[in-house]
Amino acid sequence: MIKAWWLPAAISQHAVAYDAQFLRTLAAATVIFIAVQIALIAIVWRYRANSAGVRRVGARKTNIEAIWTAATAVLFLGLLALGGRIWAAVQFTPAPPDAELIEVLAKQFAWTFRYAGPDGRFGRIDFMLVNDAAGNPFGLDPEDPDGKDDIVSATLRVPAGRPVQLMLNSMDVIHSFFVRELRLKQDVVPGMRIPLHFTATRPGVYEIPCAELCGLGHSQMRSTMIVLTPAEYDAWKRGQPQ
Amino acid sequence: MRRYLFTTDHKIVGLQYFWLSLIAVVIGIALSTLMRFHLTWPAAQMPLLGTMKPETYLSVMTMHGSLMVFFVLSVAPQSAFGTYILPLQIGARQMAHPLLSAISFWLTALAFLGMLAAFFVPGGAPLAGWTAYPPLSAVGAPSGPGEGAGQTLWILSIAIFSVAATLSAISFIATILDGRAPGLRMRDLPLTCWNWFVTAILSLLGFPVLMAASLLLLLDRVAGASFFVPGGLVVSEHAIPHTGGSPLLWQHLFWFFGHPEVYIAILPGMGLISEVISTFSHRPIFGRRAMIIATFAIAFLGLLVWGHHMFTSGMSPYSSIAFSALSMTIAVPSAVKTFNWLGTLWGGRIELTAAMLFALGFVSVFVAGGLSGIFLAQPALDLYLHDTYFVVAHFHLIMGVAAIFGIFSAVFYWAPRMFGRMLDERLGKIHFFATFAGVYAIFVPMHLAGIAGNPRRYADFTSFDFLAPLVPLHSWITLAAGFTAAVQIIFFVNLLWSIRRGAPAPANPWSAQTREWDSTAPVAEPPRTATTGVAALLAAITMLFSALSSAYIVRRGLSTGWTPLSITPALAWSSAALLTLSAGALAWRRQSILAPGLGAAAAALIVALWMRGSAASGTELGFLNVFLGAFLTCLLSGLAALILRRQSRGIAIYWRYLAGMWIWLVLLFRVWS
Repeated sequence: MIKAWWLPAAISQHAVAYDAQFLRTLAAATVIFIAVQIALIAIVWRYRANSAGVRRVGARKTNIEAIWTAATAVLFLGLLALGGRIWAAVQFTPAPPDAELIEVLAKQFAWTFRYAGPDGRFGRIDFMLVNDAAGNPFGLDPEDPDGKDDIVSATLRVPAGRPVQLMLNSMDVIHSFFVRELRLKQDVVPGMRIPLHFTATRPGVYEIPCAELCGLGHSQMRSTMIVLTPAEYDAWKRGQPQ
Repeated sequence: MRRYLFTTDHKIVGLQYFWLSLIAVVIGIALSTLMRFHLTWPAAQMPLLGTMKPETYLSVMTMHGSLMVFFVLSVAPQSAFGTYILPLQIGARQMAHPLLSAISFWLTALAFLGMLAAFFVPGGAPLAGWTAYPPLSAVGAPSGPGEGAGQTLWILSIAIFSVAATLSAISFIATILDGRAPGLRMRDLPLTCWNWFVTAILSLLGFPVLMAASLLLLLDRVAGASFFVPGGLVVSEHAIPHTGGSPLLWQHLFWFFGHPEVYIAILPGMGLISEVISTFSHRPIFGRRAMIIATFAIAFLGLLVWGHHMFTSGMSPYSSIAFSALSMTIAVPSAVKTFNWLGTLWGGRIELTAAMLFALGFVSVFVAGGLSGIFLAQPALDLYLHDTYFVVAHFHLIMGVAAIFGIFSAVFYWAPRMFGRMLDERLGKIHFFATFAGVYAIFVPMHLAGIAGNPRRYADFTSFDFLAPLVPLHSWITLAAGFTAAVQIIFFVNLLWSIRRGAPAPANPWSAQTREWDSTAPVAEPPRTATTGVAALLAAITMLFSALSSAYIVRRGLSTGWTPLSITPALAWSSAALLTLSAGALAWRRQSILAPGLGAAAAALIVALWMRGSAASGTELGFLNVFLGAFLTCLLSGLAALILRRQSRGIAIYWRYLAGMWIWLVLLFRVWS
């Protein structure tokens, strides 16, 4: 149980780099935290009113302060530079052109995923056509031939080791796509199509919570990401009704 | 009774603020206890409420945040203690604009009642959180219960509160700049005054932007405008008629206020604890000058880092790097402050009074909360931690607990001055140690929930496998929160008992050096000049129109189906010319009726312009209404002032400014129609 109170398994290179940066930051923060708290307690103890501590009233060297300030600046800007590289790898580098393209639709309070199917083209969608009960959770336009073979799924299946590019869409309010094991989170903003790319390396089933307050069902807005081996993934895609 | 209620005496207004924030904090604590109870026992039957529904939980959460942030943290440290103590510390008989301070209090009280009323309207209180992100907060009842009348009341309350906070800030700035006793130089002011001053500047720059944002959000809801809602949305099978708005625009405007708000809450506490630590260490403040510079540095940087709330929002990832670097830089002045607090203690003769303990507790939690900030200031780490309990723990420690420790310290420190009686020290110490242990017991484990990826604002933890093992952790947090809430009773008993029955306070019980304890110190009437106040007011108006203009330019740039504003050029330019002539006439013949006459003519033309422009619809009309409504409000009050007091230099400045502002607005409408 205690293990569940920490970062979950890391299932991508980014997640591994993330954990390293997290631990570096944690180490720096812990050392400073303990040092300052001990200093605070020790000073108060030593100079408490009924103690025999030596009083000093004279001026002190202020260069300690300069060192303290400079050290803080260097430490934090160093962390910034290291963390900036991780950010750049996720956000500045676009997905490779052969990335598996998957459309994501967020709505109160469900996730739906869509794959282009064998023709490699996504059909037109219309939010007014979205109807879970009628079996059209993505709002596919039945008139559009491109959409006939689109695969629509309530779970996200991705191939291990292959880059994946998600296009995030919302039809109502802001949601946020979050996979803990990928160490990735991206708000899904209505009116914007926001890309998010990653390469999951470890097969398994991972939960997708919504991470931006979206209404009364926010805490139940759940899906799962299933990372399959490439062979399993291709077989799954072939097995979908066309 | 009437004399007490509608007084402008700074001491009574300060106490009115104090009691208002005390009522708000009691409600806020009660709501947080309800939340924690529900998170641990989601199925429990509660008296009156029954089983709490998810929407009720979210309403309780929204109101907890809104009450605490606005009516406690923005009121108690600044408006309550500041209004009471500031004039005493600078040797002024009054605030420079006592009427403004009193009006500000009553507007705050009105906003408070409006906020509470949201609980009792159909649908209940809003559930969109204290950040009220649209579209959730903008599209009305289809997006959830509480998003009907409750959300509208919330927005009105925030708009009124923004006006109150702005007026109060003007009064503070004028008091500190103009009202100091003869010979008291700025550099010799106690750090409390410096921090109230900087806080007032932040309020002055932040709250007008929040007011602009809330006006626009209100128009989205009630007037068919689309500032923040994009087109083509379908919410619970309702096609939403809005089109072309930007949800991120709200976030930028909101956080431009929202981040400085953190410093509005905490800077007064920093000033206070600097003085308290000095008093009870019997040493002068170490590095006083550095402390003042650090306060300005924190405030200045604080105005430039709002984007660190938006790393995952979909804004440009390049801007995240800039926001991140600036955010990390705040660590430097914060480190200076911490170092100087330790330096003040070093070599002192430390008396551990209750006020001192809370000041030391402030330093402890400020460091703790600041250090979790260096995780969140890194966009890469925020990718995982954003909107988890890690964030909740972080801002509760640094903004909530630290600021509230500042308030507690102030109550113990200034109660002898404010109530003439000492609070009970023994109860105070018990209260401190219990609270100190309690907050660490709540918030250290809460970081763990965040590290495990637990999203915040979840009404229950029943739907996810990974949340199940966190339930014991949350039960512990609930237990600790219940304990901490319960021990606050010690404080309230101590306060309410002591101010009536406590030991009578000697004149200067702490042997403090500042002037509020010296009853023989001469007090002077603050000079009745309006210039500083007007300059501050103009800064606030500038922020309001800057926010509106930015929103206009962004919204206009985004839009494809934009109907150009029908501004009649002849009316626009002739009104601008008349207003400029009027300002000129004021310089030429101050006594003459010429200036107000020309001004009235200009106002009439602007009203005509507004009438003709109202053929537009939706967003375009919304912009026209909000710009012209705000401008005419400024213009007509200026006109009234001009007719009543033509000689005033402040009014002349104001009048010239309005002429310039109108030319800017005409250009804005003409260039980006």
